[in-house]
Amino acid sequence: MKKILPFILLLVFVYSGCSIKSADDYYSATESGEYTATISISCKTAVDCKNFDRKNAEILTDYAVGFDEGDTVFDVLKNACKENKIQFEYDGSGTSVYVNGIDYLYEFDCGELSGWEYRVNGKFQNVGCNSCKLYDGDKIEWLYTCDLGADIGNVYKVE
Amino acid sequence: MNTFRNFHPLTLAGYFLSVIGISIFTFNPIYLLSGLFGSLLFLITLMGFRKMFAHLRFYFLIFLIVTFTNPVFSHNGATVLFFINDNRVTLEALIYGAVLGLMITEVLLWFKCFNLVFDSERLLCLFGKTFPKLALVVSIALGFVPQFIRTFKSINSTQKALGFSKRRVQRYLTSFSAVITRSMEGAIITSDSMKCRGYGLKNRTYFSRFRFTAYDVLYILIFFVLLICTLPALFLGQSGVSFYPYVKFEMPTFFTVLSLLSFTVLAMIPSFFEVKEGIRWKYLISKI
Repeated sequence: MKKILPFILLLVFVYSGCSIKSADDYYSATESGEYTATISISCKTAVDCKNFDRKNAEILTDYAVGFDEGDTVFDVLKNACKENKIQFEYDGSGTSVYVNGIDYLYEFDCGELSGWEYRVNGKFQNVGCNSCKLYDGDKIEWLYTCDLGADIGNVYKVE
Repeated sequence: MNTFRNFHPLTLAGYFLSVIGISIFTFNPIYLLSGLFGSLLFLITLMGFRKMFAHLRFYFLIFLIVTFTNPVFSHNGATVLFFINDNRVTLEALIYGAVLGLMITEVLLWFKCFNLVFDSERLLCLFGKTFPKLALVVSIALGFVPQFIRTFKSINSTQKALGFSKRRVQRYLTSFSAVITRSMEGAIITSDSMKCRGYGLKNRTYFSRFRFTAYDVLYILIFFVLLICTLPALFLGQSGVSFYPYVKFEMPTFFTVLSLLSFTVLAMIPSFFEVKEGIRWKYLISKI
């Protein structure tokens, strides 16, 4: 008993920091807010990529999501994915959230320069998606790139 | 006796290199299971049933840790089990973790076999002439840890029996420093003594129990053919399994079947030789 006590305490500690929900509970919870933004998620470049087998390019088109004051691009993505039951994965927390993959399409799936980028009202933002605050009626687009942004119009320049 | 462990060290090294090499680069659970089965059988013949099971507890723990760690960090996969902090924990990630754990366990078990078979004598035979210093250092390093534990135990129990210190930590510390001093002295004495005997000099001859016979050539050829049969499917990606978003096996082709069969044969070779010689030994004894 003396030996396993620390492990039990550790388990309780870890458990208290987690909120565990079943899939149905997670997806049935709906969020609403006073403002709305539209979000599109597309991966046309991954469909064109020869080395990767991907069929549908449009994951979400012009979907309206409600959000509250101070919500970020990441919050809207999370809610949109929740309401449409789309898989997505991210790393980090706070302002340093990084989106690894959306709808089973991950960074590096189409070569070492591939990954997800986003733009708001047609402009790529130079901040992380959880630092980018939104305003009413903003239009968010998540685009998949195979070439560090060059194939979706966001050429990376070394300064 | 013509058991597997009495083959020439070069043959043994070639064998372990190919088996461990293949195991590291495959992610197909069927390959991994057949390799695991081969290594377990070989371990039974090397250390006996009961001792092996005592060892297996440790490896099983590693397997469990790897299996349950992967879904915590990887959230890919279509079959959702539940959500933790808005991140999905999926069946696919669990399966991927299990396969990864299987691979690590299998490779560790093969290294365990390698350790049991390859003593310092075989190591010196293999590298003694070409890299004398490296061989010496490696064989000392390999022998160091078990020897350290052995001397520590004996010194510690002596101190305990003499009643030097009742407090455990204090006793451990004194024993530890004694072992360190002793092993340092031992290393210096070893190197001095080897230098006196002319170890590593150009024209020095070595005694070696092992002779490279025609059988060894034959066995190396067999290993090589099996390796050649195994590799094409791996390089063509036909033995592949994709885990995300669904677990999906590729359709088996001729190369896959050939590769799987030859790898299974390769993994079974050591236990086959050990069992064969064991039976022969028993049979000859019963005749006397």
